[in-house]
This record gives sequence, structure tokens and C-alpha cells, in this order.
Amino acid sequence: MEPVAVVGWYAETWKGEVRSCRLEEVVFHAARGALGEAGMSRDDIDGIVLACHDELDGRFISSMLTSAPSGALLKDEVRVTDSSLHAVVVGSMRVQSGFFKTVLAVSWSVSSGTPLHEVQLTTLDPFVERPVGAIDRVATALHANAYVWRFGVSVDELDARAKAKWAEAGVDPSLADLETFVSTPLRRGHFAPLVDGVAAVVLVSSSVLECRGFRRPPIWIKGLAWGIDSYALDRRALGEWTVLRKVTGDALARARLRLGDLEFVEVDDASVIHEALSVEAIGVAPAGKGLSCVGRPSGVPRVQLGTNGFRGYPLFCSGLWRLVQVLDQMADGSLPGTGLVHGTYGRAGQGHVALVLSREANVRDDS
Amino acid sequence: MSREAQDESLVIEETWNLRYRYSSGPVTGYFLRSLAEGRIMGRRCPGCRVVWLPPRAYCERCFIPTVEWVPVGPEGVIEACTIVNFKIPNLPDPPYAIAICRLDGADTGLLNFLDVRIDDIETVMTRLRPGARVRVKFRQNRSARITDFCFELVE
Amino acid sequence: MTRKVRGAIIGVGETPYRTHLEKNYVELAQEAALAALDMAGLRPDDVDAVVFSMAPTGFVGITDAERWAVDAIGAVGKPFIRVHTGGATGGSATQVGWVHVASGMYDVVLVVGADKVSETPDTQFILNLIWDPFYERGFGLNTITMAALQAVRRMELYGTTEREMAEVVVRSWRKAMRNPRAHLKGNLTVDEVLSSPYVSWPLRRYDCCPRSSGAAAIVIASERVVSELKVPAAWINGCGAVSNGVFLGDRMGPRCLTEYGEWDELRLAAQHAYAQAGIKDPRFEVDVAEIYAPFSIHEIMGVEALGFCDAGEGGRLIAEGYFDFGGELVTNPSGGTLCSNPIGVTGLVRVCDAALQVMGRAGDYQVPGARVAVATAAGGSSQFQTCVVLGSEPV
Repeated sequence: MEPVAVVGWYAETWKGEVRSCRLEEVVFHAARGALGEAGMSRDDIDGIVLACHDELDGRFISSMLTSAPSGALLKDEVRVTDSSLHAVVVGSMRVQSGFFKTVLAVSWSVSSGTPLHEVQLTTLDPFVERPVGAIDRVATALHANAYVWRFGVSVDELDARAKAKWAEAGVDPSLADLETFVSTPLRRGHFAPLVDGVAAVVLVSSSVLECRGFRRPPIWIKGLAWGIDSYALDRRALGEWTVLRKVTGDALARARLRLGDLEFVEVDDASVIHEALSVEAIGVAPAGKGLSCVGRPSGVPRVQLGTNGFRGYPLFCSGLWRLVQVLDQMADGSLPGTGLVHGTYGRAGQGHVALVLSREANVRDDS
Repeated sequence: MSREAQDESLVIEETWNLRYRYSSGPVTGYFLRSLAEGRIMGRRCPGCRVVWLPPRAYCERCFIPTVEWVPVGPEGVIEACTIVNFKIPNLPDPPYAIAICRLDGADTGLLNFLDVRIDDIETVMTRLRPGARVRVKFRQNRSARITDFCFELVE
Repeated sequence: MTRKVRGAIIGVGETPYRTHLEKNYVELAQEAALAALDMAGLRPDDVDAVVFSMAPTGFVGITDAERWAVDAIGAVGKPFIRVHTGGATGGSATQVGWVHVASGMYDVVLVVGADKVSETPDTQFILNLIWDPFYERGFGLNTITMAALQAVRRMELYGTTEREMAEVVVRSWRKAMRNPRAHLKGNLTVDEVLSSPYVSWPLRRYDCCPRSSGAAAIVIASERVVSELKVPAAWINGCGAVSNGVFLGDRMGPRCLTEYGEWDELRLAAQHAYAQAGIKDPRFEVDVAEIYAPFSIHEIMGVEALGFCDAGEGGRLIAEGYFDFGGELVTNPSGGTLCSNPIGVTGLVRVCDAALQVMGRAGDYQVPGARVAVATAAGGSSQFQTCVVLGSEPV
């Protein structure tokens, strides 16, 4: 695929109970923020892609209210609803098509006022799933249950990884609740704490870069891929995320890179199990070793050293938020030049998106 | 569709009662509190000078923050209106009128109930037309909600 | 801008539009998907990527119902994106499906959706929930009252009459009699329409679309695949889309940028699509228009916004039968949205019916010699508009 440049970005998260804000206003700030970073105005944008979720926002056709605040007044704007990273996917395809030169992708997650479990119950089909109620955390626990049994993983390993993430997040690990079960074998402290958040990125084609400069050097999306697994849990391989394996392969192939070319990997860590299954599926940890092959300073590639959802995980827009954290760190050099960013969505890893990023646009000669 | 297919099919009944808490943000919050005080406040863009009602914290056209509160009304003009003639849950029994009115001093229209006696829909609609003058009528008991006021015709 | 890869619709699948008690949501989606693949001569394994068209899942009562549908439509393990722009969803999904091909990344894309709007009696209540909780929800604003407010503006601007609106209904129902899938159809008279009760003045019961359930699907293929398969194709020659702000009151008054009583958003989207398709004068170059018009007033607004006649002329021309079968430009030969409205998919149904015309496969509602067709979709507070131009030849 043709590389797509990211020239501006913005993200913020906050605790809903601490700051009350109108959704449209935070969306405006994110859109303005990303445009400002790029040194662009609303007039420079050809298209906007929004990613948001009606029931989490508490309003059907949520983009009705957020279209104008995201800068889309009388512009081409489309909205996707499964994953915040889908906004980057659709935005990138638009740029690659040649019909759009600049696209702004925006996503948010203001779910602190939302009855989350009730909403998640409504995602279950009413005939065979809803009465049993295996919503996301419960489904994650089913994966975890299969995983620990298949690979002989002990509870201590789950706890150790959780404690490391809480410590890195600046929370005293002894205060993390590793006693109360959410759904066995997972306890409260194994899950990232939820916060509200918003994120936005500006995508441009390489032809735009030939005509004008931006405030800072672009970061390139060299490859991206996405995919979805079966809805029913029994039809997925429990304890592993096979769709992510394929998605990773496709993203690397599009970037004309190999797994060994990756210098860093940042994955979705909604829970320690999400993190473990992701790094194993991507191939940077052997099966069953995902909990211990993360966060090691001397690891090659560096896995999960740049972002940490346990500092606060903005549910729906966590993928785009993670991307922005990575872009920031690639821009200031704290993350190396080529890596993979991942996000998952849906019930316990039903869907996945992976992006291969690089500071260089050029393709390697030996591919 | 075969009878057999329909006979085999089951129906499961369910009612959702999802409760949400919506945050207003300071701009909408100020607007609603002003209603409780008997004032309608628009918000002006420093760039294009449009007075937005309902107020916006940012101008959608210039894409910059708005900064200035502007009192508007108490009179204005109907831009569009209709008499609703069917029952919607949580809303009044029909028939009732709603209208988008542009209050004096504001550049955009605001939606609210229009208090008018409705004996015969078609007759009333000859009086409720775009361009007709209206005034704001505040309710006795106000609670910082958009329904603290309604419109009525200036006869 | 250089066009990289051209794409065409090579398969169309539609279920009948009615209440559908005999199938569940995913079964409906599957029916349309398989029908579209069948027409294209392809199997589910041939599909590279899927775009799912679905507006609020509140109607169906299953949040994110598209994720439940993954298995039934053969999408397991594949790239899968759901698009949701309210009523415009099907048009937006088509454009997102097209960009998968236009980007050069995929060769065969399935765009599919389903809606079971009849699963709940609370449709209008749900449609009340799309409005801002602080400023608009409390007023009974929903799609019917929203359209009524447009009609009121039109009457003031152009003297549009209730009789002109009734003519739209009568002609749509008559056209729908040729469409075996249409929900509502028959020989209505203008007097019958004008004596039905007001729902929200000036809209009467017959001026409003039904609550339909059903599914639709298209298969979009790259030009390489089209030339390999040698099947009839509806080339996607132009795509335009425009979004407006949500507040209706912003589109009224001397300082408005767009007028609520017109479909300026559609006018802009269509101009964009026409430019890509090389269409200079739509009233002579377009043969068929499937206009997303859930209320009678909308077809009047649509023919004007699409440039088929001058401003204010739409009502009169429709009433004179100018856009009926036998004319130079036929609107909604399928009966349109007024006769079938499976909300989350309706925009896609418009594309399906427009594609069938250009492919010569519209059966009893075929417009003879149709070579250029337009399909539109509208959503939100009439604020999202999409326009797709299809042709029997690529541009």
C-alpha cells in the first residue's frame, strides 16, 4: 500500500467524575488540537472520519451532534462505529484513493455517565446469549480460563504483570485489588481502570507533503490491516487470538516489512490477558509466555514500554489514543523508528486493527 | 413466507430502561441557569459575529471558541412550526405545537413548544406561519431546563 | 486528482420489505448477501472485505448487531467495518465500500446491511433520542416532525401545496406496484391521501414512509475483476457526501449558510459527484434517480437539489407526471423510500435499485435504456446527504 503520513495529533483523557464537560466541546478541542499541531485550519481538510458509539454516548446517531464540532460543517464526513482505529483505516483508504488529500480522524469515549454493563448486555443476542450474560469482562475471563489451563499459567503470573502495570501507572501496587474476583480467574486489579477520553489525527497524502511542510516531520503509516472473528465465543479459539495473527501478517506485508524489522510493539491492554494474548498473536512472545514477555527494557523489539492502559483506559477510543501516545513518543525519540500499534474492539477480542508505523517513508530494498 | 416458518418462530419480549447522566459543560450550564433566572442568552463568535442560539462554545463556521454572552429576545419570529398529532412516549398528549423561532438579537433559530389553543388544526396553522411574531413566556416554576419557557404568538 | 482504480457494482441482493417475522436479523442479512454474490457469480470466500450498513441498532434491540451478523455473512477472519450515518448509512456504506476498491487495497467488497424496524413499536421514541438532550429532545422532534418543519418552510418559500405532496404519494405507490419487494403499493387517489389524518401538520399519514424490515447487499469489484468475470456492471462514477450541523435553527434566517427548506447539502454532494462523473447537465444526462425521500415533501426537494428542474418547480412537475415512467428521467421507479423504509439499509436499497437499472436487471420496474442513474441517501436532522452516480460505462 502507499504510505500515508500523519502530520498532526491530539489526545487527552480525564476521569468523568472529576470533570464534567459537554461531548461536543471536547470533540472540538481535539479536532482543533490536531489541526493546530499540524499547523492547519479547517479549510485545509477534505474529509473527516468519526468513530463513536451511540449507546456509550447515550444518544442515537451520536455523530449528528458531533459532526460540526469535529470540523465537518458542509464537508464530506462519514462515521464508523466499531473501533476508533477504523477511523484511521477509512481515512487512510480515502487518502490512498487519490480522491482526498487530507483527512481528519476523530474518536472519543465519554462513557462515565453511561450504564456500561446494561449497555453491554444489549450487545448480546437475546435468544441464546443475553440470558447468560457473558459480557466483555466475563468473556475475557473465559479466554483467561482457557489460557491458564492450556499453558499452565499461574495466578501469580497474572498478578505480577498487573502489579508491574499499576506501579508504572504510579499507583501503589499493594492497593490494587487482586483479591476480589470479577469473573474467575480474573480479579479487579487485572483490568485497566476506565476513563473518558478523546483523540484525533490528521492524515495526508505524500503528494501534499511535496507541496507544503508541516510543523514537524510526518510519521508514516506504512501498513495497516484489520479483521473480525466469530461472534460466538465457542467458535473462536479460546485462549488465543487467531484473527490478530492474520491481521499482523497482512499489515507487515503491506508495509513490506518482516516481524524482525519491528523495533517496538504497543498492544491493547484493557486487561493483562488482553495484553498477553495480543503479543502472542502478533508473534513477539511464545504461546503461553505473553505475561512475562512484556515490558522488558532490554527486549527486542521493545514490547509495551511506551503506553500503559492502567494509567487510564478510554474505552471506545483507546486504540486511537494509544496511536497518539506512540506518535508523540516516535516524534520525540523515546520510541524507535519502526513499530506496530494494535487495538482490539468488541467482546473479548472479536475485532483487531494493526498499524505499522515508521519515521521513514521509503521502502527497504531487500523486500 | 410460509405459515410454518411463522408458526415455528418465537417472540421474546423485552423493555429497555437505560438511565444515563449527561454532562452539560459550562456553556450549556450557564444558558440553562439563565433560563431559571428568566433570561435567554446567546453566544457570539468573535470572528463572524454570528450569535448562536442554542449557545455553542465554538463557532462551527470559523472553528474558533466563542467568548461573549448576548441577551436575546424577548420577542422573535417563527421560522418553522408544526402541530404534532400523535403520541410519543414521555411527551405531551397531542395535539400540541412546536416551533423554531429566531429571537431578536440571535442569528439562529431555537426550538420550543408554542403555547396555543388548538381547536381545529388547520385553522390554527393559518396563524402559525413562518414570519409570525412570537414572544417568550417563562413558566412560574423554573428548573434550569429548556422547558422553563415556551413561545406564544404576539397577537 | 488522479483516479487510481475504478470500481463497479456487479451483484445486487434485496429481500422483500415488510415485517419479516419469519427470519431473525442475521438471517435477513445473509439472504441479501448471498443473493448479491449469486448475481455476481461469486462465493463468500471470494469476498476480500466487508462493509456493514446499519443505523441505530436501537430499532433491532441488539446493540452492535453487525457483530452478531459476522458469521452469517461469511465475514469471519475478514476485514469488517460498520458504517452508521443515520438514514444516510446505506449511501455512506456504499462510498466506504467503494473506497476499499478505489484505494487499490481490495478487489471484491461486500456491502451489506439489514434492519428489523418492526421489532419495536417505539420507533419514533427512538428517533426522538437522536436529538440533543438539553435543547431538543423534549419537544417531540423526530423524523416526522422534522420533515413537517421542512414542508412548512417550502410552503412559505415556494407555495408548495398539500395536493402536490399527495401527488408524490399517489405516483410512488403506483410505481411500487411494479416492484415485488415494495412494502406499500397500490392505486391511491389524491383525495384519499388528503383525507387521511394529520400526523404532524402538514404531513398526513400517507405522506409518511412505513416501518419496514429487510436487507440489501451489493458486491463492488475492481475493474480487473469486472473484466475477468464479464458480468453486467454498474460503474461507480461519482461519489459525493456533505454533512451539516445538527441544529435545524442554524439553517434558517438571513445568516444561514444553507436553507432548511432546501436540500442544499444534497445539492453540494451531487455537484461533487456529477463533477467526478463528468455530468454537466443532470436533467438531460441522468436517466433514473432513486431519491431517498421518506416523506412526500422530500421528493419535491430532491428533484430540485439534484438539478433536475428549477427551484420551486419540483412539486408542479411531479404532479404533472414529468418524472413518471415513460418520461426522460424517472424518479424512484422502485416506489422509493415512501413505499419501503428499512432505515439502516434504505440508502443501500436506493443504490441497489439504481444499480439494477443501469445493469438492465430491474425486471418489471426497469426504465428502458437506462445508462446513468443517481442514488441518494439522507440522515440525521436531514443533515447528512450522500449522492452516488452509477453508469453502464466507466468514466
